[in-house]
Amino acid sequence: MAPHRSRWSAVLALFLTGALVLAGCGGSSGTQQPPAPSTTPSGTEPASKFGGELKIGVLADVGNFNPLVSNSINDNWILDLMYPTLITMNEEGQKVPYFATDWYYEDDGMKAVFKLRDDMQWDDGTPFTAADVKYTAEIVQRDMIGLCGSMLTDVASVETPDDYTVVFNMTKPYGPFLTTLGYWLKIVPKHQWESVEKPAEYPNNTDLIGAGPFKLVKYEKGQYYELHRVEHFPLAPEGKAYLDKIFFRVYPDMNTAILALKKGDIDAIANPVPAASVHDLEGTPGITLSKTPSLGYTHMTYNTQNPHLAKAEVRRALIHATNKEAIRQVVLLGNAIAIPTVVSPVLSEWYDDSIKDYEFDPDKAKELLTQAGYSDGNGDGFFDGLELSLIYDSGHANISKWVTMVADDAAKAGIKINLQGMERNTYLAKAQAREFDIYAGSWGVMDEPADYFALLFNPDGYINYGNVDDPELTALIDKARFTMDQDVVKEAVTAVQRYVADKAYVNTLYVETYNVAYNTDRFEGYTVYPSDLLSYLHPLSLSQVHRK
Amino acid sequence: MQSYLIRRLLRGLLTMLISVTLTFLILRLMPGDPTLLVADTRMTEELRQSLLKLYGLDKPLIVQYGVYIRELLRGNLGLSFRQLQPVSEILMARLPWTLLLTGSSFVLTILLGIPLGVVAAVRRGRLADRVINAFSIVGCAVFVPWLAITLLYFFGYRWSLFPIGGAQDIGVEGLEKVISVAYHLVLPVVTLVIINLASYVLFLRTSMIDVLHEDFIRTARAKGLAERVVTYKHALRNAFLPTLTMMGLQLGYLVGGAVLTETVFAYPGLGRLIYESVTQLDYPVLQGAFILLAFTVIIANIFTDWAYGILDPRIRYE
Repeated sequence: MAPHRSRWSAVLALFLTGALVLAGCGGSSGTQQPPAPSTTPSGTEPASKFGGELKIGVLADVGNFNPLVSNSINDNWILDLMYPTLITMNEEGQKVPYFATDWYYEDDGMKAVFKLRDDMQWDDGTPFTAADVKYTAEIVQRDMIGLCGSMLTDVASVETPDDYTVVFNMTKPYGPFLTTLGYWLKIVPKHQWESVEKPAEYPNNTDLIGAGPFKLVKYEKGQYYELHRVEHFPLAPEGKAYLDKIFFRVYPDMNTAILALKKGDIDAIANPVPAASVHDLEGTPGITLSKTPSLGYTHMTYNTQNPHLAKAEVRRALIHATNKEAIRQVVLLGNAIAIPTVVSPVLSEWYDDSIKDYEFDPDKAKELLTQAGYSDGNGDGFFDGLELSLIYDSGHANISKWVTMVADDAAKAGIKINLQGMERNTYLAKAQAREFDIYAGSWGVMDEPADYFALLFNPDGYINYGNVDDPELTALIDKARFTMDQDVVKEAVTAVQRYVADKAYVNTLYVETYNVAYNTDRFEGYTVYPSDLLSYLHPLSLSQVHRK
Repeated sequence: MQSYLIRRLLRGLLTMLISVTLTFLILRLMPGDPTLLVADTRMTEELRQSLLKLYGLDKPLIVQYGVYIRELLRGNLGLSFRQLQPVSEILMARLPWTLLLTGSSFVLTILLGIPLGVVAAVRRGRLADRVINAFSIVGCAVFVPWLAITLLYFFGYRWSLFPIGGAQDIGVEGLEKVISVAYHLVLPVVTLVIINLASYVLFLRTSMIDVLHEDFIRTARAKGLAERVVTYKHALRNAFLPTLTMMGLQLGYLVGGAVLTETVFAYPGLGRLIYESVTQLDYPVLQGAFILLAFTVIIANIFTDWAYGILDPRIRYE
């Protein structure tokens, strides 16, 4: 072979050395540029709070721009800035007026009335009136659209005696009607939507007209959504939002979003950050982390169609065999609130704080089971015949971790639990078909106890995963929802909580607290509302955020 | 040649039909109900039925299939369940970005991989070969998201040399946009090249080493030809065939194969869209995407066959 100058080797060796040197330099701070300020640097304080552009990172695109149909949290962060509800929630978890000023019943609940603000308008200048509310309610009812379709089944007709009053004529009184519909129904502009033939199929992806503090002006799927301030929003302290623009930038990977936040490419992340990143972000100058509790709760529900789980003693034993505090500390790293009842402590007006949680006590569990007639004939450490399947979404990081703890602790009490983790859609299908003994899951938002109790515990309830058929409980629940007297309602809601806790239908584990991160070096005025849905992204919060 | 091409195309069409049918069936037979994803706690049976009707899932399977094929022949890929928008629009919005990303890395991988493979073969056993081998194996074994995040961390965050994710800066036009796009392309392409380089390098190296031992190479040298001519004109040309096959296979991955990279770099490509559509049970988008993928693979295949014929006259299309 002819001899060669080892030119290639030399080049490669140089490259290698260079790479090694660079990697070794990882420890030094390098040439890190300061994050680009969102405001133009000037020698004086900005005279007014108006101006500035806030960039928020989100982990997914808007899937569906139709506010009547869309059910995803990512969609709602952006749609809520445009489409109003009549009622919203305050920082204490109470329902308060938003576009409505007042709501009440007449004729013993046969009429449900909303009084509206008279100073709101759509961003094309058309006034926001009762006609919009009537129209929205009617199409939702007619076409059974989305979340709110089922809320309007008892409505006979809708009237608007004047421009700012809406009257629902009911076929029968329903206590939670006003506060549920008012909280969930997003109002659409009649003058734009009345020409839409099939509102449930309307993509609404161009020319969106909203009545909120910001409006969507431009977007590129997979990349960003650009919203501009609307010049008329009386609910903001100075008549309109301070920020000129809000950008939502899409980062499918949380790690990338965190890097972008630290560098200053974005000013906030909409999605809650994982517990493991909290420490890192807390140490980053300019970034503030806030905690916000979920409005739902995480639980295990027992299928009472299983002959073992039909017995209250078995269910109580299972709860005694669950180490809830360990789960909260070890898996959730403390980002969890204890919840001994089926109402979240966040809902301060409904939560019964007198209810005591079941203590973690495997021996007591064994005692209860022995009393119920179970025994360990073959000496294998498990009660004979007591074998239960537990289904969960294996894509859910936290739940996947604590179900193993649950199974291990249950074994200490002599109960055999077979864990069945599965892909999310399979899991939902099995839940739907009630093909499980124990269901481990998480409710998103449970805002109105009197209403959702029926969904959870009445025999025809859609999410009655426990197949509960308990006439005494049903009577209490129906009392809570069909009475107009608020004191009676409160009593009944408390009674339901105590009854369910005693019967141990549900093993309520925790209310997750989310950590949300945003920049407070360049901006201030954030208010953090309960739940990851509202968080600091609530229209009333973002309309008050301004440059420092 | 004419009849060969026609036969190939017809075969391609048949393959597409089969793949479309299979996709259609698998999606509808697998567990999971797209309606359940729309309204969780407040779902009612009525709402569920109306959603099933909207998605066309209430009809018998054979009817659904017939409708789908009929619409497909008209060029209508249907409406996305999730977005209520035409699937073709959704795919076309993301396709250019994917092609830009995977196309650039494909070209770069070949431009780098072939010389490196040749060098490794020619300098077999020496330092250059060992180094190239080591790099290739590491590149093969490395976990894509880890590599992507590491590059982002150092080059994007610590040294601020490149942007952190995204395809472009918002709101730029014209030349500025071109530069911005190129700038954002660097790190994702580097990631993909590092990962894909290994296959080419090692494949080519092996074939080259084999070929370099053949008699005709010895003859060429005996004839007094320059080593460079021997290496490139004679050895490489023959050793290239298996690599060409692999290139054809990789071309098939151009459309959907960069999911992890697209995710970490927030690059708005098709790979990520496909992944999301799976979890969201968005059948029409998935069907549309798989048609696109099948189409790409088939075209890549035809191209590979044709290129084979050019490189090796011994291969005839009968």
